[in-house]
Amino acid sequence: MIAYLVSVGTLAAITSLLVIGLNARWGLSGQLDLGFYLYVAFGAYVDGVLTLPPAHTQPGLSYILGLHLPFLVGFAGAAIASGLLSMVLGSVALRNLRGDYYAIVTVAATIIGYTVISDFTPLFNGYNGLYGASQPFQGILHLSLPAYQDFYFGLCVAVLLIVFVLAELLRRSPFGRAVRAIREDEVAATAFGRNAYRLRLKAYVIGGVIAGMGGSLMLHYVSAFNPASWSPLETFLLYGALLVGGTANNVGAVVGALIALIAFPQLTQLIPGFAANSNGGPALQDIIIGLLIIAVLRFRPAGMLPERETMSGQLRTRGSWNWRRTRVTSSDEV
Amino acid sequence: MSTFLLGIGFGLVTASVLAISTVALSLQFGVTKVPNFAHGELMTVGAYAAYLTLKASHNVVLAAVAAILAGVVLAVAINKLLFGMFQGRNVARLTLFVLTIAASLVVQNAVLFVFGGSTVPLPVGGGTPHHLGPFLFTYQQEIIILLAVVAMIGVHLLLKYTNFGRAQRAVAENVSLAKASGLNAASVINRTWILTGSLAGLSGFVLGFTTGGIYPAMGFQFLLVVFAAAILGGIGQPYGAMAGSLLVGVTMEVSALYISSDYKTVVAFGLLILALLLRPQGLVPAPTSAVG
Repeated sequence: MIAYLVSVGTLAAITSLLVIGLNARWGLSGQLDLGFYLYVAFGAYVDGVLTLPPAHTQPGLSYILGLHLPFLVGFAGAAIASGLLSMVLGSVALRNLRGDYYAIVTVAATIIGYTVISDFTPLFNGYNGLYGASQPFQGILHLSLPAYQDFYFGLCVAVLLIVFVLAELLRRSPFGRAVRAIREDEVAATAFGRNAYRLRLKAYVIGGVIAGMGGSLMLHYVSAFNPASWSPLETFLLYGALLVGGTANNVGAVVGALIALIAFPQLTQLIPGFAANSNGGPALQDIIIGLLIIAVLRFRPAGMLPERETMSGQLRTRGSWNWRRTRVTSSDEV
Repeated sequence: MSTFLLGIGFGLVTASVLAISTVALSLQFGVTKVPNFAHGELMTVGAYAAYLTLKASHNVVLAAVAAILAGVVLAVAINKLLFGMFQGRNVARLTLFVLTIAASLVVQNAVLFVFGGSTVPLPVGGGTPHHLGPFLFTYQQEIIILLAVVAMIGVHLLLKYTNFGRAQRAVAENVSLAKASGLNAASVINRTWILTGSLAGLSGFVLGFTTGGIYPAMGFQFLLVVFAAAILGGIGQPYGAMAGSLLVGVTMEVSALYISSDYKTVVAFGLLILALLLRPQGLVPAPTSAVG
């Protein structure tokens, strides 16, 4: 039972981290990025090829690099690589596109990335993916398996706490206020001298860095990563968590992740007969998340823990971003 | 027989499937201004309805009717139930877009839950390829192309010469003005959804017909190809959608001859991204209206 809780807890910590990363993009800058999971996967793969031994030492595998470096280098490499990829793709997409068109391009870019990673074997071993990822710090610690799982749980929680505090500081920083001001009213914020594109790109890169970290932790948690273990659809599940918990609220992001992505799936597994149907569990989970998104948008658009209005209420919401108080939709938007 | 012409031939078939679906998306986008992320699921339910009918009756025409009906039911459900819940509330366009994503998630996984994830073949005869001009087609493929041509002409006549068509174009152009002129916009929008659902359901059946098998994610995976064609053609414009479909369909299939066919969707999405970055107004820009 303890082992089960530790395992679920580790997954919960990593998932919460991912939702905080998504919040940095969608919550702060209000751009509907449907490609978030590409950066998670890219981080996992980059960490993999940095920490795994060279490919030629493992028959039947082929991937780039294979530097056999320690976990910390892989973790940092994953964060940097996903951040760089965010900068490249974000600088193209954010400069030119808004709203739903932006969302469509991000999902198209993700599927392109997914296809290339799956089919181009020399890069990350194609459809078979990477496996046999190292256990971080095990070379120094030499723990037994249960003790190591406890340690890894602690490691993930520690990373989550650090990122949470940083994300919270960032949200309250001048940068955080400026980027949210642009989300609310781009014209007004631009008139006050803010560069909307640069601020959005910064939020996008920050989200990408957190995604890379999450991908790295995910890789060392499951020890293998291949295209079957992620799909462009995963991003929608993270959105479900963020919308349920409360968009633009980091506490909400964690609460949403725990409820929508951890508690619900674990509970559906308890329904008798589900273990027999291999598609049943994941399908039911996705159906529930879809229905949750609809219900939240209908009955509690700001989520369970709404974004706090800071700056003594100066931040009036009247842009198209806010779910509640926008004017009637019309074709002159975007 | 050059392989290039063969590629064009395949491209024409893909473009035919694509055109039916893209025109459907474009019509619906024209009046609602919301890109429907669950559009692929209209195709999926159409394909599965056709599959069930074929299993029961072995009648292709009945199967096509079932596909159309399934598409209509889901399209009306999206309009009346999903969007209806938010009627009169001030919601952003992006909210409605997120709702269609949620709907896509629900429907796609409901199909997965009921039918399982494996590809099931549509029980239709194979047919031997024969020459038609420079191309090589099976009878099925000829029927698909013919079906697409008939559907396109039908949509053209409907938009151009019927009261519904005029009302539909008026609402797509300017919904407030259409309302002020005494049109029942809600009814026009609902009828557009019915038209969209029927075309999309049919295209799902035809897609299963060309690829030989259906699976729960088929519509979702085809969705972005449809978006690519719609955006290339200028989203919201049925005639542009036809041109966009032809371009995307033929490019996809011809590219598959020269690079791995695994990458043909990548080619389509590449076109989509390029189109949005370079020519967001589409190949055929909308005629500027008198009201601006």
